Amino acid sequence: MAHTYVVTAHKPTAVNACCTGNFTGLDDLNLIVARNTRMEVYLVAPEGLRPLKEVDIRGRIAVMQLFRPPNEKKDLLFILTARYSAMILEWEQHGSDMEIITRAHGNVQDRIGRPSETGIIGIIDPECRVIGLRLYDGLFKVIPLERDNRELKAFNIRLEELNVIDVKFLYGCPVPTIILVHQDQNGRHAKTYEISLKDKEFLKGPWKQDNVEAEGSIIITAAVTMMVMTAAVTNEVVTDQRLTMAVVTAAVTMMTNGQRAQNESGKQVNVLAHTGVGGEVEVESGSVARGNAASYLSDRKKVTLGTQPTVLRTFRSLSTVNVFACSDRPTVIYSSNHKLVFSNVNLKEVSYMCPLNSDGYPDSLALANDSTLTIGTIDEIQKLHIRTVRLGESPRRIAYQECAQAFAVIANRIDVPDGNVLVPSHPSASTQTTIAECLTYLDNGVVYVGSRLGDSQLVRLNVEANARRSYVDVMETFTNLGPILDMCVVDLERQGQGQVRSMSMSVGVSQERVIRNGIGIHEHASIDLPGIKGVWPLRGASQSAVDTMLVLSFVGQTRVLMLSGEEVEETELPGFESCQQTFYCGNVCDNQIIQITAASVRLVSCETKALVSEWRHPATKNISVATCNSCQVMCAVGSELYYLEIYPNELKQISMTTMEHEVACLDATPLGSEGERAQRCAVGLWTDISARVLKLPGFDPLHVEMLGGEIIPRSILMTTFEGINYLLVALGDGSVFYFNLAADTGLGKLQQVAEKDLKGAPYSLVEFNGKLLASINSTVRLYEWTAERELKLECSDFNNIIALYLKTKGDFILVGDMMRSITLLAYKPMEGSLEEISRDFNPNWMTAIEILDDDTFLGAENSSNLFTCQKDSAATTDEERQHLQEVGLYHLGEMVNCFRHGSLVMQHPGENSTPTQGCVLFGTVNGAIGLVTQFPPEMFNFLLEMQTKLAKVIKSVGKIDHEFWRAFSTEKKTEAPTGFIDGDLIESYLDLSRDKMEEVTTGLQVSEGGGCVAMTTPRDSLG
Amino acid sequence: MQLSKQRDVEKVHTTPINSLDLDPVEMRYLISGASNGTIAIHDLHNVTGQPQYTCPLLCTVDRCSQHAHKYSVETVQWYPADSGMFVSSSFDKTLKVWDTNTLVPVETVACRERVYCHRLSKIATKHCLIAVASSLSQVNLVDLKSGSYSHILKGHKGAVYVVDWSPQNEYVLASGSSDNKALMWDVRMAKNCIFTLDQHNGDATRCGPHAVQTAHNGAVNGLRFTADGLYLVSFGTDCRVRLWRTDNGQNMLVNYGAINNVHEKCLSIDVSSSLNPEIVFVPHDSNIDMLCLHTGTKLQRLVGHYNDCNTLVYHPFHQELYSGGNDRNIIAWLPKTASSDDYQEHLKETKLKKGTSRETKKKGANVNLMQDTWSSDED
Repeated sequence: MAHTYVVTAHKPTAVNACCTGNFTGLDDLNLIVARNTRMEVYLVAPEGLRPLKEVDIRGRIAVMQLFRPPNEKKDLLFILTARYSAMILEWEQHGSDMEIITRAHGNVQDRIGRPSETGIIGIIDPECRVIGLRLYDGLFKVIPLERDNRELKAFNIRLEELNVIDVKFLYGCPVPTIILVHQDQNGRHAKTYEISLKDKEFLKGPWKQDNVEAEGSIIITAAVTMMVMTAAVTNEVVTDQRLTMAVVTAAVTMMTNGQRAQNESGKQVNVLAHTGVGGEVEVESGSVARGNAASYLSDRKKVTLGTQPTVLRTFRSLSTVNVFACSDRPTVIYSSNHKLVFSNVNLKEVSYMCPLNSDGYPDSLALANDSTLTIGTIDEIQKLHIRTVRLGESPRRIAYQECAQAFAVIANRIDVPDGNVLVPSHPSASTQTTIAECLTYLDNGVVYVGSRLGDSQLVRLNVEANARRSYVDVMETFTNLGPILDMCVVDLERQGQGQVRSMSMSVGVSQERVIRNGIGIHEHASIDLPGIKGVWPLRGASQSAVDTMLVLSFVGQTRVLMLSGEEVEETELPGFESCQQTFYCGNVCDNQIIQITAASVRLVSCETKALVSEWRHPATKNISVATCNSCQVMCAVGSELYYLEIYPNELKQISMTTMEHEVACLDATPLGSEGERAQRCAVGLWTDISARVLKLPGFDPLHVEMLGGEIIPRSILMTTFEGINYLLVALGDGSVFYFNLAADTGLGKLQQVAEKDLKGAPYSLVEFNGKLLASINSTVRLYEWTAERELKLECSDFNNIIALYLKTKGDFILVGDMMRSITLLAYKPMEGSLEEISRDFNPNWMTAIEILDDDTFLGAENSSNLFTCQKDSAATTDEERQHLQEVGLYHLGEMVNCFRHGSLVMQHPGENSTPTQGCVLFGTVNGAIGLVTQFPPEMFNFLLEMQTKLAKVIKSVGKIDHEFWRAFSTEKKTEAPTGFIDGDLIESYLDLSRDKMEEVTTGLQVSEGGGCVAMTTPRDSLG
Repeated sequence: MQLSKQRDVEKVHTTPINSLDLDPVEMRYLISGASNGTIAIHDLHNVTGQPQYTCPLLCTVDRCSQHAHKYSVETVQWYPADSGMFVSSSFDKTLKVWDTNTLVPVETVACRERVYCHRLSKIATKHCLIAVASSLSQVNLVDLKSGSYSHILKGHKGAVYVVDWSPQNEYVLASGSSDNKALMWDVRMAKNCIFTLDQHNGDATRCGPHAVQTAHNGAVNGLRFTADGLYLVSFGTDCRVRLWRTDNGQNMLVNYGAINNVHEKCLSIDVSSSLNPEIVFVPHDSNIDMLCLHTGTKLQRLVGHYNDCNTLVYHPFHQELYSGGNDRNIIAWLPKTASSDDYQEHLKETKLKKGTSRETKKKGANVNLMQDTWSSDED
């Protein structure tokens, strides 16, 4: 028996359907987006798309259509899942209480049938008399739409045409009439049929047209009074007395985006050609131009955060950098999907802050305002954070080498000759291509482009070409992780917290965050201390990770607080100047502490706490502004700017310069790619109100940005969010400017050391006991790396159709075959051979495999199911031993492309509340990331019971039974789920109302360890 | 597809093989019935770890067994729900229901005439009827629950050679007979068939009054529903294969060409499931023709049997075909993959190494490498 727990950490992001209409109200224009098993309802508002509700559907959404039957005040939504559950949904809103109710539902699956190669097609009669479905070859399914019918029942009509490309209903017909494009040996033809609801059969339609455009794949029907389509997009226009029909060629014309048609009244109507197979809508991106050498600072933007002078400070939360803007309206600035997000904090006013990590107050913030010092912790800002590295190529595989901290990526690149020069086939940084899965027109020339393979976009179609000679402007981009082709888990910061690096088609890495309304700070301690001008944490030794002291600066004095446990008491450091206001204080390199006061820069030894070096202005003028990182100090005296470097027991002045005006603020934070030593500094000046970027050590000006206005910059900060460098400048009136800062990047080089010719495609390469294991076509081969620096074949295994995947543990090798499930091999070092130990004989078409433990193996197959197999070590007969037992079956609803051992959460050494065994992450085609782990039997049984209860309490939209949804289902068989816990269902317990929670927990057998542990576990595992 | 060099089925039959069937649950056990009354079961799972293997014989009902059929076994079929039971019918005018574990018939139904073919519905939940085609001009329905005849479908005027149940509707049955007709039945209406398959689609004037309502211009001895139940394929001694719509009996008029068929008994044909395009496998003398279901194009001819092929069964999980014939062999036909070539090469290499080492050991010994083929690589 397997005891496996599966949960989604990052929901799918690929868009597979979208539609617009008046779903939430007669006057509301809504966009509804389907992301595999999730449906999102947006309101189209002047400022953009406003998310209203997100609904999980127990099924993969295959068809989603809005329609309005006569007598209805607003649109209803029809959804069909990939496993043929049909539902009609209605939006109901009472004040802020938004609910989606199921008007009707039913399953329209046939017991047998050949699912069409061209996929599921679902269409609704414009007069709302019937819903038409093309699910199986040779059959057309009709669901009559009758009012007040709560059960959706369908009947089949035989369809003579075998290879149907597309079907649509025609407008303005007295009986429901379909038009279809089908293919036979002679080409593609358009044909119409009337549906007789009484006899449940087709009658001859009004017309037909043989031999339409050979590539015609999409039918667009329109009422003739509404639109006349011009020939630009249409390769074929067939005009009937009552209607106009156009057959649009997808793949070829796709490159000519944004086709326009003129309607009779002369009003602009935009029609965007849609893609059938890999069509592309090429649009130019208005997004961030990174690495643009022409301008050092780019994309200047301004936000107003408060009304008082703002101070910017960085802190880390879950290993991401965030900026805290201290003002009368404190705000946390972070980045999500390459956009800066400004999130308010639930505190009235913060004038200064610093991060603090002491024994008593781990991962906290010290926040000071006029009268008090508060120590608190911050809510999780992001659940997972995503950083994207554009490769300009299609990545296929990724690996990480810890010692070099380097990633290796295998990518496909097709270079096309352009004259004599070879250029990458990928568009340049300023052009962005989204391959559309679905398109829907919103309003005012705005179109939503939903994509399965790239980011989804909101684009505007223009009548006139823009400067880039494009008719399309991108207004907004929605990140999509999918399809995740490969991923690796790395611990970059060595905190025991894994980061996932996943590969998706055009995107490098991924993540998501849950933005709640604002960010909460939980107060843990508060001290009344008026007049604080600054706070800094101090560590006892530079290497220590824990802060032990807090330095507070006041006008004319500096005080040091000692933190011992949760106790705070005042202390003194001998080397510290306590009769001066401190501008900066912190641990620096070589186990030293720096204190910068108005009078001098003081270097103090951590061990002796005594002053070891001091720097004063040559003319002993007072320092006005200062900044410092772990090895560099910058201080400004009026308009003079000094650059010092920190050495053991020594402060060395490296350079100085005189600025045009007095320095108002300074920053020398090293950016991501620069290591510990900053190569640039940022300066804000009085008088001309400018922000400048200077190169160190010579203070060579790199960029001058005039901010304009009369408010002087009060705080300046360079930081990196999601791989993008930003410069933030806060002004005295509470507003913040932010810019993109160009980065200098360098790349390592790989050198080839050996080469081996293979007969076939190597699908998988794995390091195995110091040797190289490869799956090449149908064979698994082990190569030895010889002293002569060449690969020598040691042994092979031949018994597969196509060996796609390999995983190893000790001497065991798990092989995933294209169509024959998984096989366990053992390497016999003595004999130098591979021996088949055991095999799963079920006909699973594999997409990913993993070894959970010595006896349990996990597989993902191409109908979006997971299964676990167990090796029967105690088997008495050969026959039992040679057959892997299928012990777990589960429908994930996502096609998994890769499994990797690892976890997204920090492993706290002392924490034993999560009794999980092993943790495997998975990445899917739709961009979802999830986790598979194993539980001890008691816990598993407890959760299983809870799952059964939850399934009864939680009613899904569309009334799809939980057991049906999670049943292992392929074209050949359907089996009840077993051996798996649906973590998504378990965790939905946390969102239940109190009385519902009670309903679930009553009668639940709490085993040893208590329900409390069980409750916290899922959340912990999610991270 | 090709004759598999790597897979053999252990030889057991000493007389022509008339019928093959795969167990419907695991698709693991291959049952075969032969002319001398022998029934054998083979295991298709390869647990050797090597691509080269012989499907072992699990058990047989030998003709010497007291339970065995006296004469030729014409049809064997697994019970659709599990492999614990199978049904066989024979020219000895009996139909036997067997317990697989004991290999003893739990039920023997006496038929009045020689049985050519019988079928159990694979989808039936509301009945357990076995349709029996015999040289009586009727289809007998045997109820497995009672072990006796439940009713008779009368309509044919000659021996009924073949029957097949619809995979779509558990009450629909098709039958083919020596009177050149193929009839579609709803077994709940025993009086009349639903319709008669007419090769001319009602346009009989072209061929004169005698051709009215015939499916073939010869006996109909092969019938097979497609996996989705939308079509029926028929095979007749007029050397034609025809495709029919199952809802209205319309002849789809697909031209598959002439395929020799002189047998006065049931011949099995099969249609691939989950392949695109769908393929019909039809015995053509000692060969098997692979035809495209909807266009009739001949895709491939499988050459391998030494004598007439009588029966074949398609393995939908692994896209393989098993066939049996008068040459007493069961042949496995596998899709051509790179693995077989790689493996052959590997064997050749290892053989070469072995050979040379042997050569060096036994100096002067004449080792003919060419003679040392893969088939002896079991040491």
